Amino acid sequence: MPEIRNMTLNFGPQHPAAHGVLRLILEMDGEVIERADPHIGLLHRATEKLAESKPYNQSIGYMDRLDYVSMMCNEHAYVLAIERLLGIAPPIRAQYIRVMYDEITRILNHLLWLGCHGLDIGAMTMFIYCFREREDLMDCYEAVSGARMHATYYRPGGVYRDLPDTMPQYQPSKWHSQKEVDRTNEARQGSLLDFIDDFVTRFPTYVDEYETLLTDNRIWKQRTVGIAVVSPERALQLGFSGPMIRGSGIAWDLRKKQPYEVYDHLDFDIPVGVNGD
Amino acid sequence: MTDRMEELAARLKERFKDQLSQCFVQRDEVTAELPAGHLREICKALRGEPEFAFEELMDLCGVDYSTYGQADWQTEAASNLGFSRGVGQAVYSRVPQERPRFAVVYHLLSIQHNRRLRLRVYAPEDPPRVDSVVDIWASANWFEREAFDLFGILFDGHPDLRRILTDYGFIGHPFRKDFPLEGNVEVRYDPEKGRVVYQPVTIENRVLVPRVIRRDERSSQLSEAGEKGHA
Repeated sequence: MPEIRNMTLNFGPQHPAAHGVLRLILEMDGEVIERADPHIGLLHRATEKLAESKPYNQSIGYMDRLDYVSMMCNEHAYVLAIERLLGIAPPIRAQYIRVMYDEITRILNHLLWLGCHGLDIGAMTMFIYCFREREDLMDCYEAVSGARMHATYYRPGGVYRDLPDTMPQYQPSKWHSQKEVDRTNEARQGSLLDFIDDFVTRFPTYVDEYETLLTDNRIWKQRTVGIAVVSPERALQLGFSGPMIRGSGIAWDLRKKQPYEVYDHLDFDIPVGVNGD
Repeated sequence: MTDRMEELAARLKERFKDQLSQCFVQRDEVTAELPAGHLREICKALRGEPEFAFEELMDLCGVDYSTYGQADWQTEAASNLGFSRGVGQAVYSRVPQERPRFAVVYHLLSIQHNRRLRLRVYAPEDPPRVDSVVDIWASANWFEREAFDLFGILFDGHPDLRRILTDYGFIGHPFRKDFPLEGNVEVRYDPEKGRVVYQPVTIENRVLVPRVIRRDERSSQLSEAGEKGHA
């Protein structure tokens, strides 16, 4: 009988299934990965080194790029640190604006993972549905900062400018008729806050659509349920926080436990997982 | 919040006494400094004893204090170099200090007590070395590899102390203050050799804001015109 050995496989650094550049040295037993040695440094940009030779204000824009799907949250952490060092507190309105944009960013972020994760494991429609809503939220970004993703909106002591009174309008073009444009502009007639208000009333129906696509989808469940389970003990060992540790069943959320800005005035619930998968 | 932090600091002092070289509260955060020799002992106690119960190591990083306290941005006179301060070679000069050059900083979190603690360990030797805490908190594994890679700090007892972020065959520790911002080598594709080659860097440090020119014919004419316009 021939000797069966595990196969060592090189994955990446350039690979269509890797988001960005990632190299993995995998030891495979058939289709099961026994060991993985990730080479994670290919996207390292030495942020700290770059920030060393800049005035603090000039690094805010760099924070957007740390996690490029939760741009303003990164900025928030950075400006909060500066504010704490200086011992200053931003005005209450700025605090509310920042918290509001943190939550917009959170939805942006979650839509991206949900869509891309769906795409990665074979549910391509999810991606298109999620990116449809991301478009509206990126319009909110654009309305306050002029940029759709890398906003550089927060400042130590507040935000770059107040919320605008009007929303930018779509223009008809060769590809979008006046009728179509009127429909997309309908929600954009009032101020930015009216637009956000309209979005949050629309959004639950979108969530229902995602549920229809995924929650009872047999293929999706086969590929996710019971995969990569992390026990609460292991989660603590690995220093998990946020949704990761909540997935393992530990109720921990900084917004509740160590509230910053105005989170202690807001009423919200935190979902906590049970299975750790 | 501050009271709870003061309380934690007091209890730390009471429990570890002389083992800590310093323990203080600053901006609602507790920092404890300890000598490298006591690190593992104290970490085990901090994680294991229910009074402290720091179950999580949130961050571990190296710090290079070689230019600590040198205020590049503080100046009395207007500079005509724009914001180039802090970029030039001058920053790399080592400021003589009493404290050792390298330190390792640990950020601990206790989920149970909802408290944080910062530990700072100086590594006075050359090369700097401290004990690994991988068997106490598994998350230290990659953090220690990172601190080794970027600062050249050695962790005794680490199971797999390799570079983690820099290129294959990289030389030097990029986050040390004496490592140039633009690096030493750059990579490009050489069409003649038909492969990727490494060569000394060709880029130069850029100043972010253009130089401020105060005495210039055009600007003085403009400002005169402006003054006339206002008058």
